[in-house]
Amino acid sequence: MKNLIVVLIGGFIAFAGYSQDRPKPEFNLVGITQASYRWNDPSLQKWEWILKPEVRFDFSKKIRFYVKGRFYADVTDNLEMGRSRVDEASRFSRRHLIGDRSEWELRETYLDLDLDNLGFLRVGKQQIVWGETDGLKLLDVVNPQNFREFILADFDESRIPLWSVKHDFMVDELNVQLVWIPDNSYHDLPELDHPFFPKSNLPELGNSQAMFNPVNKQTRFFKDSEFGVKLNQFKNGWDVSLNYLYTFDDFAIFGIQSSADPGFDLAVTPYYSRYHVIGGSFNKAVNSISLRGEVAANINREFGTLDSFDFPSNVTKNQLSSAIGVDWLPGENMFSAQVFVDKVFNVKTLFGRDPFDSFLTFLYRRDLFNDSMTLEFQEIHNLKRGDGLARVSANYFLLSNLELTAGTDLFYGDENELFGQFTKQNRMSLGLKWGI
Amino acid sequence: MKNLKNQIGKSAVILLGILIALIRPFASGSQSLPSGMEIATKTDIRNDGENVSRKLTMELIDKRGKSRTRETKTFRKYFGKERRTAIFYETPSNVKGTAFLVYDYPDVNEDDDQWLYLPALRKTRRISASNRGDYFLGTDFTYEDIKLESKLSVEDYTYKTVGKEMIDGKETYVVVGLPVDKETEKELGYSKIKAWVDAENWMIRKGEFWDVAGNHLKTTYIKDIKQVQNIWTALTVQVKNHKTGHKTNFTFSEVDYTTVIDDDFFTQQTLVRGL
Repeated sequence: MKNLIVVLIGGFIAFAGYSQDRPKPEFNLVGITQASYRWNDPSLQKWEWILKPEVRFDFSKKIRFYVKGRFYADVTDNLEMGRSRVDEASRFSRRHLIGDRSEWELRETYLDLDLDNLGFLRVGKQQIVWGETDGLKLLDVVNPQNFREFILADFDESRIPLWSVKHDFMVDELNVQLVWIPDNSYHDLPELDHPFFPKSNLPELGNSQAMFNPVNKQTRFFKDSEFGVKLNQFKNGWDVSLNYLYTFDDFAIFGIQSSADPGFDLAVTPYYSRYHVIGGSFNKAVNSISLRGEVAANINREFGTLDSFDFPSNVTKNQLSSAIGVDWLPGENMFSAQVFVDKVFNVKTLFGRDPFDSFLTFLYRRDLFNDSMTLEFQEIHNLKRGDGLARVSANYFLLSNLELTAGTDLFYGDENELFGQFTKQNRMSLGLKWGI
Repeated sequence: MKNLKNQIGKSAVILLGILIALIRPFASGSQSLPSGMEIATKTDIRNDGENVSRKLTMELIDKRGKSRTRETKTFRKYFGKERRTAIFYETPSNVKGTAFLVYDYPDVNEDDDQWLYLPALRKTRRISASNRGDYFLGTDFTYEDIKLESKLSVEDYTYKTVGKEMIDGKETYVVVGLPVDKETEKELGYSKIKAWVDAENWMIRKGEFWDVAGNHLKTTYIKDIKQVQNIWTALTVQVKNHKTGHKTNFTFSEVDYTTVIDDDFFTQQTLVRGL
């Protein structure tokens, strides 16, 4: 991996030196500050300051180099108290912590090559986004995610870019996208004492004394690479894609055994298991509405279960997830609803979830004063367990490049459930976003 | 008394003469005026290039005078009779990357296909073509206005020529258009339009719009019309919304009709990738 990055950067420098055309750098900077106050445990949950510089070099119309960084500081240090390591991401993709309150991260760095009839190649650290759904992810699993704020942060901010190669080309009217990801990075999860630590993901071990071993991570450059293909075609008003991804589950599975150490009953070793994702998506405008849908079959995915043992064991099962959504945009309003259905086959119990699960999402957005202001209400509701998340937000452009944001995030439901576990983190937020 | 009668008689004759003098040219002029549909068709078939690329600066001004500016690059190309348009937002940073793509089909019964790429989601959203009367991304232009690009739609309206007027020192035909049916009226959001069409180059120089309730909605001025590479081109378009007091100014620059635009510019992949 290190060699690949050296080759990439070396190639870029060499190319820059030999390029006939003088590169035309274009610089952009976006700054964000946002403070969130939680009222159940009255305190500032965060007061973050973010700077996102980006530079684009166009060597010619066919060759571009792009780099984007992010400097992040939380003056309260209440989201990731005392965190000193970020091990889930590979050495080349992780954020670099600076003390307790700040960090910097190379968000994206890639070389774009327009190969004419051979298509378009993007090589470097990037985000690859698949699928049609909002809020919950079925096919959008190419990149892992930072769960520092569970799913409250924008996906663009929380998605972890990976070192990868993406090649798009056309075969007649069919767009083919090949993806190769040699970067073994996984979801960045909060630690046990952090406010958004997902308790519902931990195995229930009863009164057993458990020893947690370090995460068993993949290290082989080629053999542990992920790869995928997306076929996409637009025909007769239908946008249809077929997707395949051979990937690692970005959530760790907990291997649990009797401990050899007499001081502990159990030894827990988290590891990442591999599975296949086969799926597709569509969208179609019908009169005044747009329909969209997505399906993902996860083949040979490992799950923790209590079916056969007193403590969780892991089984390999197939999972089918699907979603259908409808968007209606009358005037300056937008109504959007989605239904998600998820089923893991041939298993009675699963750890942290039910074998069958379903969600309903709803979004209402209204643009006011020629898009100077946007009001938004969003809800994600688990139809089976009754927990969920409701969000209300307002954005107002004070100037062309200065935006005021305000909002509230409300978790509800039983504290043992996926969303309900975060009711103590209900918050209201105020922020500013500006760009140059 | 006789003198008074004579004077009244003389005055009446003079007044009648003046009236005839005023009416005659108009009457003879209206006989020679082209029909409304002829004028609309002339704008519709006006040469606007096989393809064009240009910079478009959008200035949005609210009723208090507060202004927001957005810079975009726009591309348009004919694929046979099908017209494809792509708009990419370049500044400010917080809307940079937003992109819009429309496929406009020649068959009037076939709905256009439209997509909007939202960089915050990194996803492309399909937009129903029946929303063509909605305002385009905060401007005072509707999606349909953007698509028509200073032409008159020959499918959506019936037209009547109502006279000739001078606008900015140029002779224009004045046409009034009424939607062909109630459904079209509702879709477009206009119950009536009035256009001042340049008699020399068939460019629209001014437009007036009335909403479905019959209220005067907005006025459009095309202030700067020049030939670029032998094609008549509107370089400044201003619209004022009388209901809200909001104004939008479009300024076009770096207009290029001659460089052939790659077909790839008009794909969802380029929408996602950006320019």
